[in-house]
Amino acid sequence: MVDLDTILAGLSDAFTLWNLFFVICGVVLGQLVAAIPGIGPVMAIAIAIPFTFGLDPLLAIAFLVGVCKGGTVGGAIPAILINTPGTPDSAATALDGHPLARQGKALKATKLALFSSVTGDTFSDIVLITVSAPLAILALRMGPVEVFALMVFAFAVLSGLVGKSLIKGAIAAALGLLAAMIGADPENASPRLIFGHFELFDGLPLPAVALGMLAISEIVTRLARNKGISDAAIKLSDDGDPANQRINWAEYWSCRYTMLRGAVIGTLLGATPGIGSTAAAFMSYSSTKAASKDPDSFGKGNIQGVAATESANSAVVGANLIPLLTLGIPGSVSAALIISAFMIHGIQPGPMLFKEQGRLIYGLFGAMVMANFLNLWIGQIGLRLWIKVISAPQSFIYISAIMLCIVGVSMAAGGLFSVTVMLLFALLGYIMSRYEFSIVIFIIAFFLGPRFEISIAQSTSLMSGDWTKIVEYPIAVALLVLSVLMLFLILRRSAHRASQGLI
Amino acid sequence: MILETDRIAGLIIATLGLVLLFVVFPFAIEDMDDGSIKPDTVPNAIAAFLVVCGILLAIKRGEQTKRDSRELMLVLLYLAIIAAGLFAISHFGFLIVSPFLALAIMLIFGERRPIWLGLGCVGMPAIIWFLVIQVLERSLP
Repeated sequence: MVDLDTILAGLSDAFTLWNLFFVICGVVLGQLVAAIPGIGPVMAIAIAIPFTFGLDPLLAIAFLVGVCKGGTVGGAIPAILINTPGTPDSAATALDGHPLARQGKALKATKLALFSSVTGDTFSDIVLITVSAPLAILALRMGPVEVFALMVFAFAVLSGLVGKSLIKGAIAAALGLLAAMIGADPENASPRLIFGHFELFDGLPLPAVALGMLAISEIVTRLARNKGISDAAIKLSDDGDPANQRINWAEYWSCRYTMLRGAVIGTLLGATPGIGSTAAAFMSYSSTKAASKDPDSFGKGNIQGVAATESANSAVVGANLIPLLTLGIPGSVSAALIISAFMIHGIQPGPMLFKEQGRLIYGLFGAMVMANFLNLWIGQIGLRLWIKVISAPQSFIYISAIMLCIVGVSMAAGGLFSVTVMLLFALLGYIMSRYEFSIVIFIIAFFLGPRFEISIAQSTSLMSGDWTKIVEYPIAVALLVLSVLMLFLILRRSAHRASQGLI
Repeated sequence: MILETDRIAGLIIATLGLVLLFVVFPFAIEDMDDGSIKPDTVPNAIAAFLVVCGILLAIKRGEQTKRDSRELMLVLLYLAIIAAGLFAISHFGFLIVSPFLALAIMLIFGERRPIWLGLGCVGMPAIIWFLVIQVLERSLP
């Protein structure tokens, strides 16, 4: 489907000085913000998107991918040093990373986390680059009915696997879809639920919704939970022994099977929408522990534990792009934000992407490979520097993020009305988090809403309004049956856990 | 009977679905007969789905989430300050209002060090001004 000329042209676009510069900026920003507990790469991507408007699409997306990849490395720093994960997926890293830090091996643990992270990420990128084009060819054979069934399947997976409760997941998805209904209806272009605000005719602006729910709600929650302390986010205790400050080849090589297992788990889970890097990290950690000859050493400072979690959570990043580039379905919030950046630059994600924007996609792949090497290089140089820089107090970090959100949304979505929308969604985000309704599902459903409605309309038209004709579409039927099966299995598992008193 | 948080949330969601279905949608969605589906078909289906899910959540044995009213009040306070800041920005502009907005939030948060207060109130707005006006050549709100 994509000829060699396009692939080479895309790669040559990627390996330019400007692209290198923006990937470096992205990786530096990603590593830095992920190291600050409470900010994280998702918030950084959301804040950065409006500032990439004026850029060339490849530069903009390469920058955001750099942030995403840098974030996989930076999150481990506070997890290891202060037992406070910078990102949720680094929580498992703290299990062995922090005991290592307490033994005076903080730098050893952070460097191993860096190497493992880059190894896992590179593995999943190779999988992404090799499988996404063939998968896109398969996806192109799908019509509106199959797309509708695929989305139902995606919602079932998301609702069932993200969060503790299937019902709450389903409610979050429904609320996200409902928010997507605001604006002109896709069939007749008649205004819906705009209540006289013609700014809403094109729907709620995604940057306002994403920044409100992901950034502002998290920042105000952290501000509110502060007990009158305005401490530095992180502190470094330095020991003098050089052996504890580096990882030698023998130590890295001893973790090769652990990292490979983590990379495979991360890639498989990353390619499935909604499961995410936190689950991958914990699954990799528990499987490594189960396979170990000395399971008792885990949780007390075993380097295998750090390698297992970091290789798995980083492998999710590349694999997350598989459903995004082939089907247009984001596997995570970061992927949903990257997809919105595609759309801001006039690029429609999905299987046609390889045909219509093959050069851009292979440019993106080139940028991803660059980002991996830069992650390693910048991580080694910058590790100590980040620790110094991020010792800024939370008050300064949070107020900076708030101001960037206001300016970013105002630039991206056209004025202060959008900033008001952002505040309303910040309140909704806080309420949803407080009562354990998944924000991740909400945002992905909000993003998929218009396509979901269009697929229903097209399917209805295709079947002349008679939905019993769906049996003529075997792939759609198979996907719907899989959805039901998935929900049944999740409900059975929940009932089993409830009967054992686990929940 | 002590109502669990999940039950209350379920009842609220179900009520929201009913209000949308019978009050809001008939009023806020124009009826059109063109097209393969009507403008209110999918919204109605989602609202009905919310009613069902809300009822299921209300009748299911749920969890009692810890309620911290102080946290809620503080969240509302911070959001109100930002909203007031937005109102002021719409009249006086970002560059004039942002230092006061930053100062208010940092003081409530507990920051008292002059250097960090200065960086937050003057340094950050200056960086944003440089980035947006000079580098990106866009306008500030």
